[in-house]
Amino acid sequence: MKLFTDHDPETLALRRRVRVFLLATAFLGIAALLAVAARQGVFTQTIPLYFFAETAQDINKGMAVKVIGFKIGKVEQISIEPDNRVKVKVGVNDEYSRLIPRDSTARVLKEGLIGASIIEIQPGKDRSRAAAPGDVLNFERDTGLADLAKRLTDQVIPILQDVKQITASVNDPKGNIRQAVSNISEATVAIRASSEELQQLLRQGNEKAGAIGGKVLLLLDKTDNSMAVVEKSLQTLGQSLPGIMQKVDGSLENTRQVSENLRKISQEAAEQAPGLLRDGRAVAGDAREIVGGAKKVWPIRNLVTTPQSGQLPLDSYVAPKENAR
Amino acid sequence: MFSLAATLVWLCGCGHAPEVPTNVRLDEAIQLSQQGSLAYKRGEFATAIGCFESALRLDLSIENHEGIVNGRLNLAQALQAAGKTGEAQRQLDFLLEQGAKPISDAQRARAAAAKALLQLKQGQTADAGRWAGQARRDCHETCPDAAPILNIQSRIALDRGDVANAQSLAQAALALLEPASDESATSLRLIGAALLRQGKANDAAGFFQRALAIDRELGLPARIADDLMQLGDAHGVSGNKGKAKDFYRRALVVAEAANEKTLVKLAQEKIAQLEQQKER
Repeated sequence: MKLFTDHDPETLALRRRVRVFLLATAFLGIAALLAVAARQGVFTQTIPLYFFAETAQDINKGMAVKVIGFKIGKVEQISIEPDNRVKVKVGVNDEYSRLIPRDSTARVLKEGLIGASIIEIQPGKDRSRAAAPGDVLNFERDTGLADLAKRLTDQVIPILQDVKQITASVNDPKGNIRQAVSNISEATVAIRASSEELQQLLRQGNEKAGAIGGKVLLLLDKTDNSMAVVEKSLQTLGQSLPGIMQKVDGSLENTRQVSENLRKISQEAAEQAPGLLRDGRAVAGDAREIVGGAKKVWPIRNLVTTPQSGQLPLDSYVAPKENAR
Repeated sequence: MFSLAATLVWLCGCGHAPEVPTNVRLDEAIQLSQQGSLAYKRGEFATAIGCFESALRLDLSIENHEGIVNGRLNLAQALQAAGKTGEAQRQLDFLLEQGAKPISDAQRARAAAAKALLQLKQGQTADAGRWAGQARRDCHETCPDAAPILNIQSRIALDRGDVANAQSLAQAALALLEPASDESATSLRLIGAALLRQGKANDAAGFFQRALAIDRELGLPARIADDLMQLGDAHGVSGNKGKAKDFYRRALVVAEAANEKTLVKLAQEKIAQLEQQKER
């Protein structure tokens, strides 16, 4: 049988094709392995650089190290020093090491507002001395989103407190603004009463003037003049008061609008919050249904055990009591 | 070939069993019960109580008798672990009282055993013995709690001073158990304690060592400290005060780390006693 197959041209051709196929497969496999290794940086020569951080927060092994946006290496090792500082070793591609002077600074920052954290090396000023293997770089941490939010909160809180105080002062019946408005109102009433009394006095004066004669008329003229001055003053006061009242009204209106806006915002938040909660619950319900549905589909249902409400195992252990021994 | 395989997979996927209507409340109760069990195993008793209570409410709302019984038993165990013995008693009384919906013998045995444990922890040995006896009577061949019930009876016998009976009960329990379970460690500790009362300190130390190995394997700090204390006692009885002190110190470290205040106090007392003896 073997004799036949050894001399059969078709069998020989098939063998040749199989050999060629196997060789090609092996070649492709090795090429793929080499490509992956090259991609992983196995053949790239790197130099080790170090920096020290206060905490290892946002620093992970394998995270990218970049200079002016180009990846030039990665974090290779993170360790804790005896003085509780964090020592970070980065491997920098040898060909880019010339871009990093010794006085460069490593910074942890995020790519974009909520992107992945990276180590960005900010080249120093002393370009004459490039970093050598084992050099220690300066380190600083970029302001994160949380810090920004905290700063914003710190700035907004005093403003809100001021608004609250102003609103409270406006609403306080014993407060300065309410007192001022009340005083002005009382003064207006008093001035009106005085004006009426003066007019009455004038009428009486006129009646008496007719009886007393010319001297009295002179006196009355003077009195008239004085009354004219008083009237003028009252007119001035009467003209000014609406302006003052308008300003006070304007201030009160502004304050009322601020209060109204705040009330609307609170109301909207109160209206939206339950909705959001409802939506969240609905999403969770949908997710549960999807997972429940997936569990019923072959082959997942064969992999998932049917849940059962079981009993806890009875535990007969009795802990020792004080003075028990 | 690939198309054929894909078609086969698709066809298999189509041919699933007819869909069973879903009982959403029952599913939710089961999930809550499972979450409670996980929390109990992690030692988060407050969370476990919350989950078991919610599961019980759901089971009560759909009259799921099996779930209600299991729920009350689980809730009682979690309440007991959290030190709420009164509430635990109440849950068990719901199951055991006359006129309640009948429960299986195994469930009654379980509830009675839980009552016995509660009484035992309160130092009421006579009542504990009565409940443990009832549990044993209701626990037939297929009863899953036979070994823990034997261990409870062994503990009661030990408290009564019936050392030989305590040893034989714990040995019977050990024979029923898997070798590396927390319950088998309890049996080993009970055998060791019985042997120690009989003055067989070296034999006792061997059992305590085996219990310690299991408890360390399972990561149970209170029991590790207890084992170390018992080892200290065994070495103390055999006259090796130095080794006894070493074990008490180890027990103290473990108990402090686990915040087991009673064990911390016990270990401190034992160390102080040994130091006083040394000074004399």
